Parts: sequence; C-alpha cells; structure tokens
Amino acid sequence: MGIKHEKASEVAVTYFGDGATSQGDVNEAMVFAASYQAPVVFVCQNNHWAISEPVALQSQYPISGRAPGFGIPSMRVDGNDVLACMAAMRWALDHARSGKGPAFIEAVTYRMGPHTTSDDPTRYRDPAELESWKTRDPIARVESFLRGLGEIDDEQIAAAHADADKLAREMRAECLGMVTREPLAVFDNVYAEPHCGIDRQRDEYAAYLATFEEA
Amino acid sequence: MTQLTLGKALNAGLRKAMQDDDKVVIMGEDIGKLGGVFRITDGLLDEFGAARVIDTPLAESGIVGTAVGLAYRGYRPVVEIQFDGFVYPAFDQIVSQVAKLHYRTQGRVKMPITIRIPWAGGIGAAEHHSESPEAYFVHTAGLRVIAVSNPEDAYRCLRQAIASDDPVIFFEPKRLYHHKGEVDLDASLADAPPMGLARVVREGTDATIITYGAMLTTALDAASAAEDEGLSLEVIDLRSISPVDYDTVAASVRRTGRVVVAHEASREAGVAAEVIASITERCFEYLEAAPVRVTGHDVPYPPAKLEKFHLPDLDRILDAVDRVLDRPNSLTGAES
Repeated sequence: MGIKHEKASEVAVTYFGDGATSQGDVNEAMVFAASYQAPVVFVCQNNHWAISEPVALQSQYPISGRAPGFGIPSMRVDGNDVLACMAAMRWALDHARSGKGPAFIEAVTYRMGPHTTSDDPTRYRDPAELESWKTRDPIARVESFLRGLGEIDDEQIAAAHADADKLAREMRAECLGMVTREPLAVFDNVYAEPHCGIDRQRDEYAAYLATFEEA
Repeated sequence: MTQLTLGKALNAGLRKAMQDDDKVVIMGEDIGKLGGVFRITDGLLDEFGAARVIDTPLAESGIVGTAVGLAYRGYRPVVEIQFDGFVYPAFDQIVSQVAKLHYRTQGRVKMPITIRIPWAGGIGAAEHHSESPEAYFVHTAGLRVIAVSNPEDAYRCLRQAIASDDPVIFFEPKRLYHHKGEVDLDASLADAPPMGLARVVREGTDATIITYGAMLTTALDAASAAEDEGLSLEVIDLRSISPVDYDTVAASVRRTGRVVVAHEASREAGVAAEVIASITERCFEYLEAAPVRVTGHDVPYPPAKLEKFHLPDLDRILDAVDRVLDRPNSLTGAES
C-alpha cells in the first residue's frame, strides 16, 4: 500500500507454500491486496506436502483457482519449468506494475527431500510418487533444453556445477563458523528505544554472570 | 489550555501527529467517513484524505498485517481496533510479527506501530465490547503498553506513542471518552515527561493505591472517602503498564509501606500480580502488610446487568485499604 501511495514502480512479492494457503492470514492478505488494488504478487510454491499433510488436505481445488474469487487474476505454472516460471513472474509483475492490482501464481512442484532432518517421508509417502518427480528435475530440464539449442557446452555445465558446489561449501563453512555472541546480546534490539524493564534485567543478568568471573 | 473530552483530546492528538509527520497513516474499521464508532477519528478523512485515513475490511489480522507492511516501508501506522474484544484475531500478527520484527532483524526493521484499543467496561455493552486484555500484551516482549486516564495524558501519550520507534498498544478507557479536562494543545513533546512515567496523582501517607485507566477515577473517589475517615491515601496512575515505572512506585511504597493495586482486568496472572511481585522484590523490608489486589473476578466479562458486581468499585477498594491497614474488613468481619 505504501508503494501505491507513493506511485512507485516496485512490487511487493510474497512467497508461501501450499500449507500456508489454509491460514486465515493468507486469505485476509488477498482481501486487502484486492480491495486496495495494491501491487502485490502472491507466489504459492505448491510442493504437494506440508510435512506429512498432502495438498488435497489443504485444498480440494487447484489453489490458483481461489485467487479469482478474491478478484485476483491467477496463473498455474509448472514449477519445475524454469522458463515457464520466468514468464509467469513477468506476467504477474507487469500486471502489478501497471496499476491493475495484485496477481497470483501457483507454481506446482514437489518436495524431493524430507521437511527437516527429523522428518521421515517413508511413513506417509508413496515411493513411486517420488520416483516420478525425479524425472522432472528443473535443473536437468533446463540443461537439456539449453543443450538442444546449442547454447551451452560441457565445459560451461561443469563450470556451473563447480560454482554451485563452491557456493554450497562456503555457505556450510559460514554456518559452521558462526560464533555465539556474548551472553548479554540476548537483550539487544528487543526495543528500538531505551526500556527500563529490559535495562534492569540486563543489569541483573550481567551481575549474575560476573559472579563466575570472580570465582 | 483548552477544555476537551478525552475523546476529543485523542482526536486532537491524532491530528497533531498527522500534521507533524506525513508518514503517519491511520487505519481501521469505520474510521473514515463515520469517524470511528466512538468518533475518535472524526474529521481526519476530510483533512488528510483517503490515502492517510484508511477504512479497512473487517479483518483485524489483515489490518495489523497491513500495518506491518507499511512500517517496513517507513510509515508510522496507527491502527484502531474497534473494541477491546476484537483484538484477538490480530493477536498472532501483534505477538509474532509486530513485537518481534525489530529483534528478528537485529534492529534493521523498526515497527513504529500504534495500536489503539477502546478498552474496558462500565458502559453496559454486549459481550466482546468491555474487555481488559492488557495482560496478554504486557507479557509480550517487544511491545510497550500504555493505558491513559485523562485528556491531557491522552493527547500527550498518543503523540508520544506514534513518535516512538517501538510498537505501542494504546488502551483508551471508553467509559471516560466524555470526561473533560484541561489540555495544552501547543505543548511540545520535547518538554514533555517520558511516555512511561507514572504519576502520583494524590499524595498520602497511610497506604498507596496503584492503578491505571478508568479505575483511577474510582481510586481517587476512594481516597476522598477515606479522608473523611481520617486516612491519607496516596494514588498512583501507572500510565505505562509495560514497562512500569518502578522508581515512582517504589518511592511511594517505601513511604507508606502498604499497597493496594486495582484494575478491571481479571486477577490471575494480571498486571496487579506482576506489580505486587516486583514491589515485593524491591521493597520487601518496607512493607508493613501483605499487598492486596482489587480486580475483576476470574470470569468472562459478565452481561451488562451484572458488570457492577464485576468491576472494582469504591467500596471494594476501601475494603482492600482496610485489609492493608489491619482495620476491620470483609475477611476479618466487623468485630476484628
């Protein structure tokens, strides 16, 4: 709404999963965006699973079909097709930028792995489903598409893989290398302005910690 | 100085804040053409236009969520929740987003949102229209909670809340909306006392009554009545219930040694419990008697015909005063 008031060219893009579409807030956000014709692009990444709950539990109708009921045009796109996703996003951004209000994209894909390291999809998913989605890997598809066009060669592909591996290595190293900040940092930024309650708790905890230093 | 009702003082405070800072926008249900169901936003749509005075759909979570987006963009949204009992649909946005975003982003994103809530009972209203939900917000780190009791504080504290870079839950005692008082409309915020400062409204020596919001009027009436019996009661208006100005509170308790805390909200895990626990931690050796709470009962807000039995009144406050002064009271019986 701020962007609209300022007549700026930006667009607010919000990403969420199929599970979130059952939340009231997602629906309220669509009401507000439509009512104020705000430049918002809603992108639902429908990966078929919210931990163990299948998308059919969230919606008995294609999720993209909900948006028109709010007065928001929508598009359902193959989420494993890089170029289709790019085209859909261009359409949505153009729509929002042209002052026609929000747009909605449902990108249909699949969650290949578990939700977290403690999740166990073998308890609730058919292995055949996973196998069928393995054949639709978006990176393999874009690679074979570019090869077909003769736009890319083995050397470039190897370089891209090397880049990706390097990025992943660096990210892992950074995560592992994160330092724990000093204990009193837990009190930082609770408030933007001085706060007597937090100041007192910080002082009390600092005094407590100091007893270990003296010992 | 100008004579204004508390409602008109809030209206003037909103107008002044909008004049002073064009990033201030106000939003809520029925706040535009109608001017709000209590007319607190009366005339603001005509003066500032629909881009800054925003009528909203009937969805409190959406209202507060939209305010979060506006705050991200550098605005200072002032949200009106139409009635105290309507705030619960917005609770997740307030607690999970408004209160935490500054912390989550290590200070990169500020949430200078003011959430105004017409608050508490005594007006004979239906269910959902008389509630005192302040303890939920006091318990939530990242929020400041203000409860005003008079037109002058309403005008000043609302402007301070809007100017604050922290989110503020701003409780307006709806049964005092028509109470009048002197307001200095030209007062500069630079010279004003801090928003969180408590005020000793009446000085006394025998016991301290601590309260906030509409209950202040009742506490002052009780103090006047007690004076007729030769008792000298100090009355403190907390004004800010998160954080609480314990310097002012403790200075009083150290002089009187006896404490009554009164509020409309129900008792269990309420503001009075927190205030008394903090007083006990800070001033135990000064206490001459166990502090006493006078609160609403631990019941859902009762129907209008029963609310007078729920709201602390002058006599219940005086009974609590008798308890902390070891005088005959409802627990000891008249003979004690």
